[in-house]
Amino acid sequence: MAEGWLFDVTEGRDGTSVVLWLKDGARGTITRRAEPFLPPFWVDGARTDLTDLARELEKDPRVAEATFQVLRPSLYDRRPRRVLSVVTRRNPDRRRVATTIDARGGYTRFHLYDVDLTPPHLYHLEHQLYPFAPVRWDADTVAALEPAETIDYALPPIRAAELEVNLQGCRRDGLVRGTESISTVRVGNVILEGPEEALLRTVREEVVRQDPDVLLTEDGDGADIPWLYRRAQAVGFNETTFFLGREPARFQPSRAAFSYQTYGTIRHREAAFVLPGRFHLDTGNSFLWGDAELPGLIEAARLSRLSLQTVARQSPGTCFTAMEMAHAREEGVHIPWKKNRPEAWKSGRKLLDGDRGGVIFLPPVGVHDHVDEFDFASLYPHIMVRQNLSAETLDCRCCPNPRRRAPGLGYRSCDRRVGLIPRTLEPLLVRRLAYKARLRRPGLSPLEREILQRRVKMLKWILVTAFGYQGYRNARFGRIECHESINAYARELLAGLLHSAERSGYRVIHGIVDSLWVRPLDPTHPPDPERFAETMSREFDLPLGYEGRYRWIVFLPAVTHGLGVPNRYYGLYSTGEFKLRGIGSRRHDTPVVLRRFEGELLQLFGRARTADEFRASVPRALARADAFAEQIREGTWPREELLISRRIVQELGAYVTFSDSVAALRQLAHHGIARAPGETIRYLVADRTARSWRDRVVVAEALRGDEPYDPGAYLELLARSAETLLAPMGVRREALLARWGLSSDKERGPYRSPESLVQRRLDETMEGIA
Amino acid sequence: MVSRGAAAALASFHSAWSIPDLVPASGPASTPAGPVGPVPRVPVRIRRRLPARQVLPTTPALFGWLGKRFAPGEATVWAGASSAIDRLLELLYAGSALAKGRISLLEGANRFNPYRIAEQGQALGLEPTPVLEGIHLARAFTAYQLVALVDGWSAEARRRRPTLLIGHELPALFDNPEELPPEEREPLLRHVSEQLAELVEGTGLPLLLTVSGGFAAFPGLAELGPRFSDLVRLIPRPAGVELGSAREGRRLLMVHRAPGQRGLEEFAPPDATQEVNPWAAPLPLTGRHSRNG
Repeated sequence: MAEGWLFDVTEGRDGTSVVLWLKDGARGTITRRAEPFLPPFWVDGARTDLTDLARELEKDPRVAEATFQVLRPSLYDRRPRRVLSVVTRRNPDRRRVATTIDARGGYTRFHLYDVDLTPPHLYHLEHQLYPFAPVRWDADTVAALEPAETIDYALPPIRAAELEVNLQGCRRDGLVRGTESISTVRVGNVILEGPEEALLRTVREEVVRQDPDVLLTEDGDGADIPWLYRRAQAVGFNETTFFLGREPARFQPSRAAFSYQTYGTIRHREAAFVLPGRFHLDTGNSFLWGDAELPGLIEAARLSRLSLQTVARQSPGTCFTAMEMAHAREEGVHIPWKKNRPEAWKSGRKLLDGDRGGVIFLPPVGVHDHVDEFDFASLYPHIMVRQNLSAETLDCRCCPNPRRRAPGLGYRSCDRRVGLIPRTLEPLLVRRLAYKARLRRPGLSPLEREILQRRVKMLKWILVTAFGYQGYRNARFGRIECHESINAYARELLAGLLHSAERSGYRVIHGIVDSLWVRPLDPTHPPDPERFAETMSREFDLPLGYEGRYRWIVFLPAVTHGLGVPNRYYGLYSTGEFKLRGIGSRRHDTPVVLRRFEGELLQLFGRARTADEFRASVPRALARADAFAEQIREGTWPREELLISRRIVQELGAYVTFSDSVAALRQLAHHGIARAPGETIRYLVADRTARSWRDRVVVAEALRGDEPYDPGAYLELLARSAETLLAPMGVRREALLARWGLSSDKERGPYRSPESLVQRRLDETMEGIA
Repeated sequence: MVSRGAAAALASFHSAWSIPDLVPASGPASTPAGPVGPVPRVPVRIRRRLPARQVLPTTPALFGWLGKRFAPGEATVWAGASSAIDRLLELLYAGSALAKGRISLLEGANRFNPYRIAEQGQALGLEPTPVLEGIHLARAFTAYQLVALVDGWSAEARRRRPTLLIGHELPALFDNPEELPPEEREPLLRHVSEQLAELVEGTGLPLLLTVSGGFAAFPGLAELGPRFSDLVRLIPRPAGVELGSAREGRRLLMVHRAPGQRGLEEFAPPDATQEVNPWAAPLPLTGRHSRNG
């Protein structure tokens, strides 16, 4: 009998088992343990269809057994039914057999469950295990010593090492042709170099020697690991002689790169190179790493029953869905393969009433002081839990006259059973509050504080996503009416808070969904904000937090119509902390030069204690803008700080207008580099009037650092940045450009194509004539 | 008489749909033809039919023209530019409310805009609420949801007793290979076609299908779908939108014209195949403002 931790479960290479990676608590070694595991999937349909199907499956060599069982497969089923359980001979055949069955039913007659969950995920669910579980094991069993939901859990000892690969004659972010040999490899603190074959052999030996549990890379999925694999293959290694995990793995990614659309933007996800027995975490290919880091990711892995390597590469929504699945499976509910629950039929009027978001006010443009900000903590998750909003409990048949109805919409919440969403969310809310309470305790060590903060951030992401997933078309357990109900409750709540604030001596100047900005009616005798928050928390039975008082806050206008934009503002709390929303510093594509400019302006405004002092510092801010403009115009600004980032939204061939991005994409293509939609390109604007892709920009990969740049382009960006921050004070972009001696109208160069032979001949002829 | 152009349209109608009985022997058909089709159908049990009602008012002329294209228990297809289809559809919703009709709408492209529909109703002197109350709809956001909605449409129609069924861009959700494996597209759309046939035969209600991509975008509709009453092609013209009825070979030109303004057609010899309907709609935008110039 041994004790330790379950680190990970991976798929066995034989296709019939899973591999458990157990860390011995006493010796600190990793034990590999293969367990035979062939999980079934389930087929639901008409009795005769299922009988025929079972007969057919008996003849299918890929199928080990197809037996009837009585269970309640769907979340919406009230009574158990007879369904077909199908077990394949090999796990990789599960999806193929499922597809065959679905096709046999014309894609409409059968409903399939548990098809697309991976065997390791199913193993966790079926054996009440989870990643990083403290476990006790013997020859027959592996058992968790505490439930996954335990709040006060100890982290296992984890060894981490960084991995970084450099190629001969290339910058890491420079142009790479794919044929370069490897010059150096860093594993942890050890830098290795030498002839390539020996170097790769030493890399393998060094990884074995250090035996880290986590290999940390930055862009390892896109660069380091594929480079290592490619060169290992080139010098004669194979998958069994060169591997970075604790057992051999294929040189192929476990998931290919892909582009996808989310919330109206195109994103790109790199291919995933995961390792068996050892976690490869690519900090550049992880949405959650920046906020959650290892403690937050471990928290998510435990609760979602997904491998740490999976959690790191997925969105918070995927983690939340996996948590829902875990709760559903506890209730004996299985996971639908193809979710088809549609929206309910409703009148156009009801759609108009329901299909809307939270309350949003238009803020008064300008500088304001004496402003207090209040914010409901985790408002939407709390609403979902309090009002029992879940796909299966909304408008249930068992409660025709329930206690709770969505305001204005009338959707009923079940009084008799708690829905899947509240069951999933409530423990998360409790955990987050518990961690926050512990953070307030004195005497915490910096490490403990860091761990708790990361866990809180991770949980925040998951809770934020939980609401959006109710309206997401592919959410396994989502339902659009839940989404509508949550918004309806939130609107009612904020409307109530607004009246209460006005009764308490405030004037509401701005509000967004769950936050309220208020100003005392009498600034000389302001209400006590802490007491107001406490009273409101009691009145609404939801935690209303007091975010703080602003020394000043600036609400910014829209460029198009000049009215206030709800989520574009910047302000300074009385604690000296800034709150920034919607300005350049918050955008990923803002060049460093503009971040620096905004930073200097904010530093300047940071000295202002009132709105009047803020206004008084505007001339100095304009003087800073002039100084920046002067230096940019001289052409001496460091090129790295002028790089503009753009996320591309389509393939190069799909663009119809010639722009800086198109020029950059063509340059990259010329160097043999293709960028997929959703990926980011970085470039320096060399000549914004050029009509040639060679002259217009310089891509970051080809940047030498001494190229001339187009000062006009950057002065325009600077003017726009200054206008964004100072527009309420009457500062206009056109006026700034005129002040810097630049017209706001760009003059394009004549139509010519320098790379065209004909054009060149014509130019030469013209020169000859001249 | 069917003009040469109309005859050509009918011929293409014939070849595209492969439904010979829809082509009248001579002259415009006054009643829909029989239910014989080239592909044998699965026998459908016809339950009690819902009583046929007037779908649209007879005036203004546009509604009269559109109303003639519908027949109980048959489908009318609108094909052509989606922008024109959507705007005409909004007019149709308002027109239906004018006739105190009820619409059951299955929205496949998430382009139901209650604000614009309410505006169209207001232009006809109707309050927004009755216009929007007269439309019962469900939106599909995935192909699987759409299939589920089509499967349950018959029950919904029997419960609500609408006067017109509308399926807006039903195949649109089947065209995204990231969401739906390509091998599933055709079988699912054929299933949808069969269900639509069952729906209109079972309820006896007129069905309007808007398919901007035409029949090529909807596999199975011509062979397995419902009996067709008419195919209306919507073609944007410089002056407005031209509607062409394949069955009768008639065209209706909806021209943008301010109220009270007179058109040249009033002074020209009458054309039996074309009507002109002044439409006080705003002119389409010809350009967009750009901050960057």
